[in-house]
Order: sequence, then C-alpha cells, then structure tokens
Amino acid sequence: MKQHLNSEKDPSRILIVDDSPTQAKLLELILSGEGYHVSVAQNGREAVDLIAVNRPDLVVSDILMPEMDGFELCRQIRRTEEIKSLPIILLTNLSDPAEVLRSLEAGANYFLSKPCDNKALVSLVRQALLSKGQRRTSGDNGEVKVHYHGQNFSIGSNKDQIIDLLLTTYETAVDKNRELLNTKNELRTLNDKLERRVEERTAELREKDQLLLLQSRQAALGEMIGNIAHQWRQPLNVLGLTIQQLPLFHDLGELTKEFLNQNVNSSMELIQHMSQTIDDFRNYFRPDKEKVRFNVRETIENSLSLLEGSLQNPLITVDIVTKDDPVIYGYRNEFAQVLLSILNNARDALTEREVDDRRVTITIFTEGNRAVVTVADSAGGVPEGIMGKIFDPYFTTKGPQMGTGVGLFMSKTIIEKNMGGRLSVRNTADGAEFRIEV
Amino acid sequence: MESIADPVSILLVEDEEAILKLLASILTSKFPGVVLSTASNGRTGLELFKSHLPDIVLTDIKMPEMGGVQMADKIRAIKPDTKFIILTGDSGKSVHQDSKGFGFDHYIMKPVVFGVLFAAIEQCLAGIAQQRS
Repeated sequence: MKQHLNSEKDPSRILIVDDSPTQAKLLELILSGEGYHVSVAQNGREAVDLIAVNRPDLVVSDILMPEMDGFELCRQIRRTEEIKSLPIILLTNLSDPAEVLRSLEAGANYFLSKPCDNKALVSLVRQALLSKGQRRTSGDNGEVKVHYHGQNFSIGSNKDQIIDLLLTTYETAVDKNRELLNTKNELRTLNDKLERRVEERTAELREKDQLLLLQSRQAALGEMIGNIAHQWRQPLNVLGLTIQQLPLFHDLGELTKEFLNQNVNSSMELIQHMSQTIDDFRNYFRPDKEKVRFNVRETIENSLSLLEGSLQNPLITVDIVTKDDPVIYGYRNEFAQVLLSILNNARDALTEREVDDRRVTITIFTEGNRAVVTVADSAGGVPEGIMGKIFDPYFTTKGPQMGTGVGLFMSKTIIEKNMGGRLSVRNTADGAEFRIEV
Repeated sequence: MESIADPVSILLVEDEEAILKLLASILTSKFPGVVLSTASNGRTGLELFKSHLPDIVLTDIKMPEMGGVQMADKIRAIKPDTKFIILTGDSGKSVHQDSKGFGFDHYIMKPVVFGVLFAAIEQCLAGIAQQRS
C-alpha cells in the first residue's frame, strides 16, 4: 500500500457516504490510492452505524441521500459526545447559497464541489485530517441566528468550523471561477477559429460565385454567337447568290445598268440588316447598370426576334398570349437573358426529343400586383427524377459541348435575388412550363 | 445533247423566298433549255413532282411541312432514277453524316458557289443524256 504523506503510524480511516455507487467507488479509489483506509456507507443511517464500529478520522458525505441525508448525518454526529469533533466534508454542487448556511447549522466542516477534482479532494482530506488534532473542541457557544431568503438558520458552530467551511466554500467558488475562465478562453479561441473559418468559407464562396458568373457570361456569349450565326446564315446565302449573279449575267450579256443597281441595292440592304443584328445583340448583352421600367410584352418580342434564326430552323412555332400588358421595374437585359435561357432549353428539348409538333406558348398576365410570364413547351416535360435539380449550378442533361449547367441557375438568381421575384417549373400535359413572377 | 421535243426539267424546292427567287433567276439564265418548276416546301414539291415528273430535283433540307430528305424518299419510290442535288450547310451537322440523307447524287454547301452548283447540274444533264441515247 502506498504510504500517504501524512506521516502517521496508522493510516487514517475515512468513511465515504454516498448513495451513488459510482461516485462512492470513484472516491474510494482515489483515497485508498493515497494510502487511507476507506469504508463506504450508502446513506446517513448506515454511516451512523459504521461510525460507531469503525471510529473513522474523517467523514466525506454526499448531501442528498435516501433514509438520512448529509445534513442529518452531521447533526447526529455533532450530537453524539464521543464523535462530536469528527471532521465532515460535504459534497455539494453549489447550486444554492442556503446550502452553506444549512451545512453550518448542521455542523459540517468543509465543502467540496461535485464532480470531484482528484487533487482538490486529496488536498482537502489532508487538510481536514491535519487540523483534526488542533481543533478546539470547545469554543464560544453563542448561537448566531441568520435569516436568509425567508428562512431562519441558527448556527452554533465554533469559529474554526465556520471559517473552515467558508474557506472551502470560497475555494470551491474560486475553482469554479477558474473553470469558467478556462471555458471562456476556450470559447473565445473556438469563436476566433470559427470566425476565421467563416471568413475563409465566404472568400471561397465569393470565388465560386465569381466563377459561376464568368461561366454564365461565357455560356451567354456562346448562345449569342450561335444566334448570330443563325441570323446571318440566310442573308449570307442570299448575298452569295446576289454577288455571283453579276459575273454570270455579265458573261451571258444580261448585265444591264438597272440590274446592277438593283443587285447592289439588295446587297446593301442585306448588309445593313446583318449590321443591325450585331447591334441588337450587343445592346442586348450589355450588363444593366440600373433598374428601369420596361414593358414585358415588348421585351419578350425583342428577345424572340434575336432567337428568330435558331427557332425558325428547327421549325418551332412560338405563340404569345397577352392577357395583360404589365410593366416591370427591374433589370431589362437580365430579364431577357432569363427568357433566352428558358427558350433555348425549350428549343434543345424539342429538337433533341424529335417532337413532331414543336410549340412554345408564352403567356403574359398579371396576378395581384405581380407580372407573370409562363413559357410552356410541347417537349414532354422535365423527368420527375431531376425536377428538383434543374436550378442547381452545374446541373445539365446536355453534353459538355451543349450546356454548362449555369443557365437556369443564373436565371433563378436573376429573378429571385436581383429582382425579388420567383422562378418555378412544373410539368403540364404537353411539356414543361416555366413561370416567371416579378 | 437534250432533244428539243423532250427538254430536261428541274424541280427546285427551297423555303427561303429570296433564295428561291435568286436561284430560279440564275438557273433560267444559265440553262435556258431547261424547264424549271419551283416549290417552297417538301409537300408542294412532291405534288409538283407527281404532275411534272422532273429529271432533276434540287432541294433544301430543312423546310416546313415536309423536309427535303423525306420528300426525296417519296420521290424515289415513284421514280428511282431521279437525280438529286441537295443543298446543305445550315448547322454544324453535315447531311453526309446523317444516315437518313445518305446516297444522293450531289451535295452543295451553302452559301452556294455557282461553279460547284453548275458543275453538279451539268453532270446530271450529261447522265440524263447518256440514259436517253
């Protein structure tokens, strides 16, 4: 057995009183590890019996226990002449200041907070055993009446006892305070870490957003080039024929002044038209600097004229149903970009699925104070399995050369974040129906 | 070459009006001996074919109501030795890779280069002359 530092010949005997077997076992292990003789009682009544037999040097007791609690145990000990000076450590969780007074009243010597800290326990036990010999058994017997929170306590303990108990109470409080400080520091460190993490994450997200924006611009640019190609193909074909007519007719002797003028005029008309196309696209893809009032129907018609070539070729019929003629206050080109995205998707779905009756119906109306535009196609609809994902960034059903998966994501961002509206989709009997509400 | 009594006839099918007009004007000037009829989609083209039975069909592919390839399939069922000149080149996908549009006599890319178009027509005319003699 390990020799404890208190160099007595016989090891001191300690009685542990606790109704919780785990708590009791823990205390027993710690104290017997220090070389003390330890016995255990499960409540105050058992303790009283054991004390009579064992005559321990110190009692370490819990407060709340069945049959006889810690306070009653103290009182019984103090009432019994042979053992009235037996030092008692009460275990408390320090939740109620009245506990201090009640303990004093009952005649406890020390407080120790639960759950027990090993070092504090050992040091307090040593101190209690040491002062046992020096304790005055008689003191001033004047009783002190204390009124605290509506309760009366009469404390007859001597000054030693009061000071010891108050000191241990204070020590316990200091310990708790230290614990609190440590926790506070840990929390601050954790908080700093979290803040840094949030900052890092925000920066990452900003970068991601930027990348998305770039990709959506590139996608829009790609679409624009595709649309210009469609718009230009026909006039280029006509221009080719018109120009080649000149040497042909010259060789055939049919080149009159009138024919030449007519030929040049129609060529210039085509060239003007092609130039206008570029200007239209350019204006269209210029970023909006500020919100403006714009007519929904006109914006839709303009967007459709840009798409003319790419919708005409796969022979898609576009109907516009104007029930109302609303005006929106917002970003006109961004709104048009959303329409283009939805229309391009409809076109791709209609051609990819080789639908015979290729139709897109655009309906414009108002609902309350909101402008609503629905774009419905006849391509069979969005498969149920991907319905929830189509607005996610980078989600695409098209091959890598066809789609980047940012079109509908950006559309949702534009309508919902930039313009405070709503963009949703549902399936009708014929196909998908996108609904823009602003 | 072709006998006066039985002139070679060409059916031109193209939905873009400006191109149809120009090509018609060019072909009548270049080949004055040829009888030309025109249609603006596959369906009217097929009807015209049934009434005229032309020797050569010069057609666009993408057209409303009935496309060029679909029309050509129906024409072949009526008169298998009809010569076809297909005008292509509106989108990246070439008709040569499209199995449905495979096996025609000539493919002309748009924008049409006269030299190429005329050479194709002349080859068809030579073939017809050979068949007739």
